[in-house]
Amino acid sequence: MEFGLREFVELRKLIYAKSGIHLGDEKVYFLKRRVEKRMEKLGIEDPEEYLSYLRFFDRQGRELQELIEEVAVNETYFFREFPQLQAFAEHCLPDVLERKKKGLLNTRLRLLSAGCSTGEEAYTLAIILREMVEGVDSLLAKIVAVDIDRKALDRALLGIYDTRSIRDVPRVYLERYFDNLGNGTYRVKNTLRDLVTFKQVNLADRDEVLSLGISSFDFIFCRNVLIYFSDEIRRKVVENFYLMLQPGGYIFLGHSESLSRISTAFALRRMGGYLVYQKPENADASSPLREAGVQ
Amino acid sequence: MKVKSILQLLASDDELSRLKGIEEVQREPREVFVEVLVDLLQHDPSQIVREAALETLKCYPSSFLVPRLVPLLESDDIFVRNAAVTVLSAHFEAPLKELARLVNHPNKHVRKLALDALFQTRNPLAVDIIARGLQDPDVNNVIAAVEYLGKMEGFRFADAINDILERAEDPFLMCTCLEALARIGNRNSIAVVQRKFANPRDINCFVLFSYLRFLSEKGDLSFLPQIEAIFEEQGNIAGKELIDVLKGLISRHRKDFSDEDVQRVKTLLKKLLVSALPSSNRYELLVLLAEMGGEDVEKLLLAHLSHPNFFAKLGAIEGLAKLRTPGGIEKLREFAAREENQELREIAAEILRDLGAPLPAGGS
Amino acid sequence: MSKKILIVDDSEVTRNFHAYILRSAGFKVLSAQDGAEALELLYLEGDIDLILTDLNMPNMDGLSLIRRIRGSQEFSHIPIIIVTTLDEAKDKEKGFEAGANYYITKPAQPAYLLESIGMFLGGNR
Repeated sequence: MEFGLREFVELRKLIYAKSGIHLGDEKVYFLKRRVEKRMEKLGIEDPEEYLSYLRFFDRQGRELQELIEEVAVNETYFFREFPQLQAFAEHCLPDVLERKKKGLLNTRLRLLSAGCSTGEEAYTLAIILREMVEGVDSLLAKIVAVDIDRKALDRALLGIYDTRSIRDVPRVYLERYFDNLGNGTYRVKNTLRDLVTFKQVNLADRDEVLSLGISSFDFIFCRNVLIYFSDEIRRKVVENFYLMLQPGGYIFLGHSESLSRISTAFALRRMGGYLVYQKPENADASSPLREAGVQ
Repeated sequence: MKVKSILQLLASDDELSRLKGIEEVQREPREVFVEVLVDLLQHDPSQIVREAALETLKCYPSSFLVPRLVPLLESDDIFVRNAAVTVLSAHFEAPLKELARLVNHPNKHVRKLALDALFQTRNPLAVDIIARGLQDPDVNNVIAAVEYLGKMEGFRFADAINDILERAEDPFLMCTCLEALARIGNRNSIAVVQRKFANPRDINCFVLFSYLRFLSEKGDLSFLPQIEAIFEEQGNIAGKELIDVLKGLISRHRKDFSDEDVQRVKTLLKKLLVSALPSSNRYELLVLLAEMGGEDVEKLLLAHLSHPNFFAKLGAIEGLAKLRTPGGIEKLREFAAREENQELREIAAEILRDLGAPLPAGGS
Repeated sequence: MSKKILIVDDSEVTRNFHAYILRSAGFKVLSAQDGAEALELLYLEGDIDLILTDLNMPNMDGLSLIRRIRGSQEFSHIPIIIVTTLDEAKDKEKGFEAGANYYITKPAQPAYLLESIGMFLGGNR
């Protein structure tokens, strides 16, 4: 049988269940090609057979994980997933700052860029903070950017990027926050560097992660990273994130990733038309159930 | 860490300590902790702790857990019941004997949960046990058993389900049988379905979709008149399902098509193409038409290369690639060079390469 | 504009069956296989008009789902109908206590299901 919409829908469900990634309808051809690649590797000719394989023979989920990694788009660049960053900047950030003013949270502003790779996300967040937060320095604002890959971190520290990376940076910001090095490369200015700390950390190691801070982060960005972990590790990482967040702190995954597949301990909010996850505001003493007025 | 220290962590007031305690238990899951974990599962105020407890219980061999978990199936708390099912089914070598016993439990809700747990184990040995549910006095349990047997490819129970379908009056039961038989049906199933649903007009409209699902997997050319009739009456709501039916028919029986069959199927495909369907279906229809071939189809595909819709163009590209006519390939090359949408250009170029007809260098 | 209904049930045939009934009556239908997925769909779509939910589901059961919805800022007003095999009085009590508007036991008869929905959505489509 040919790979058609029905096979696509079946596979999409399996992929979503395991990784939380949702593939829109327009990805049918995209998925078809990747499946064909996998089928070739396995020596399978019929998509139905491949589906059966995934359902009944792939007990450890290894093949499904391979497929997922084929499907995950892992290119990194500045201002990736702009609408999500907009929701963050225009709704979530003001919300947190407001609560800090009211004395409901600790006064420092702390963000985590988990799986920061070569630093584009961390510096993007720094730009947003500089633009959106008045008196950002007095808030002792800090973006902690972590990754397990030493080489990537070294490049992040260097802070030099090419035209592909900066293609979505608004003109104004490019001029304000980057030095044009001339040969198609740009280097981030100190005004951004000052806000970011890079660290080599293994997200799956609880002690390493929690040493960054418990109940002290306002925002955690972990976009398109969790999909590369096994189910078990993924859950542990999310547990760690939960512990690191302040009550009412936000966590952002890639826009087609689902947190609820991993844990239902987070509250959902709709901010600026976007789905975001929040550690319950009265957490630690209670659960989302209590928040809903039930005990 | 000593047992005592771990127990202290687990009883602590703050979340972090309890989670640390649970992590220690995971390192060395000992029987002494089961009681506490089950307690945390049921009563901890923090969702994240309950989840961790649930995950940790899965680390135990089921022999430790069965005595503690089975009673939870009758808990008043729905979360706890479902958690018990999740843990009981977490192991491939699940407590099948115990679950088999529960399939005969006097309480119908417990029987249902046992069936759920058996299904979730994904263990082929569970199939025979689930099949006992076919004789359950409660129709909801029969429905569950039928659904699970279909999903687990319990082929040897096809005839049992055929019988149930034949006698069924409840539309939900009929649908479930049809959907299961779509997966595991045999020749008898085709006969039963032909008999029970001889006149398309009489098919209860809620059963219609399941009937079409069955046809898409098992239908043969003897159903063509019914398919045509259904399109006339209900093409507007069952369009998507009809496409699947035709797709199945083509993929299984193409070589048996007479010339007349080809015409009839093409007519249906074309009618569906102009009906109001989501655009992703247009893609499929165009590819199916290409399967049927013919000059008229080539014309249609060429016309769709300039359709405003993404899926229509995609279908046209793939369709023309299937037809492999020189005229079609030429138009594809033009398309790959001139099309506005980058993704489509790349797809066209890729397809041309696969056909051994790549664009000249500097194209695209 | 067609009204949008979210079906929540871990059984695929149940989701399909209810979807058929609703689609044939002109409703737009979305489905989720458990409460967690349902919540996400609810927040993603933003404009669901009614929810049909099972109770026994992994990840997040029906009662938890209902409580979360009733406790939310954005969606507490949405009519929720429980459709479940649980048919004892104490289950119904719990359902209404959690905030459900109506309670139907399976197997749901199509006409009755549509009538019940009609009570909350009036004359749809």
